[in-house]
Amino acid sequence: MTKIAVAGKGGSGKTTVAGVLARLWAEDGREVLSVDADENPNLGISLGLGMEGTYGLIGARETLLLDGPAVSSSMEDIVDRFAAEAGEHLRIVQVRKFDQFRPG
Amino acid sequence: MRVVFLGKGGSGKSSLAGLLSAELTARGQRVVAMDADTVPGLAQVLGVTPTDDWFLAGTALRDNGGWRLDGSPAEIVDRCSRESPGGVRFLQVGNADATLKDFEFRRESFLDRWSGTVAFNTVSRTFDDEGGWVIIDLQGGTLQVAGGMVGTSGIAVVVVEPFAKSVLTARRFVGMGQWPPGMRLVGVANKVESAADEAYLTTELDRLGVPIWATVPLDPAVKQAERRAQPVVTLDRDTPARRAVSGLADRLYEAANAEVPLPDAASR
Repeated sequence: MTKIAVAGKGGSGKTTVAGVLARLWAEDGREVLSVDADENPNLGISLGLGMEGTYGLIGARETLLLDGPAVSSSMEDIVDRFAAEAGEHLRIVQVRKFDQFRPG
Repeated sequence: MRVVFLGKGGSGKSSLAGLLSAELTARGQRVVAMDADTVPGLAQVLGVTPTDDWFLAGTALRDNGGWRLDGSPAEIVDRCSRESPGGVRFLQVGNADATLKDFEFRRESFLDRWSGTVAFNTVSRTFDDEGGWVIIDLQGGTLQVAGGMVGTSGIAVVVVEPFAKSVLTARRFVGMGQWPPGMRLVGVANKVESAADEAYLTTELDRLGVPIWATVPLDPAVKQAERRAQPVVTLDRDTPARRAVSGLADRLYEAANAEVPLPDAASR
């Protein structure tokens, strides 16, 4: 298994580069899991899920934290539970989502 | 008046926050600019040497792990801010140059804790209450807004580029549920190159119910300044981006005079 991390300043093109790499490898027939770990997640747009599809992705980390502090999910469990199909050989897991005001 | 800049990473929050701060200062207003971005850029825009985080000098840790202000808000602004060449008082919250592990721990600890957010909001609100302008540059995305750093009164300006990712970020702010009743969410269209760009953003922000208060053209002068690491605020006041920000300042003046009582204005 090969892991690739893409980093840089906001707006520099991280998401676009990650999305294009993921799609190219999936088109080659590799099984690709793309992980959007950005606090402001947009990778779904670059993978082709569109505005609605991307907006609707849930945050795995936030959801798991609701289960309680002692989370013991395996990587396989997390992928099974949270990965969305983004095309043939291509799935996406979104890690974070802050979509509500936190109570003070 | 508090003005909080929000948006996607790279959308232009820091550049516009810096230009607005300079514009208001040039109009004779008292302005404090606060950079809360964990990838800070506002100091560069204003031409200020980045400082330590104001809260390192301005707050203390309680025994219970919470934060408290170490002095009055006015004392903290005096002690911890730097003045830019144009006369903007600048307070840094995030500082990428810090190398101490302890610093990283404290920064995360500060911004993650409600008491840290309260300390941050107390300083900004006090300056606002005294009739000054507080311009806040938050980090990209919804995290700090969800955590309460947007505050409870003022104008939240979401900076939107003519791209789907930028519009999606604006949509997330709208979709966060009930905004604090004293906050108003408005939009600024940024990096607009064509009538098609403008039409796209007009349609998308109208759909979100966010009024556009300024349209800022993609300005080669801004790009060149940022490439050369020159303070954007040193640009000629007649450049397209600065003229657009001047229009934004006009709108904010109207809002400030209409909605925010300034009891001390006559006595100053």
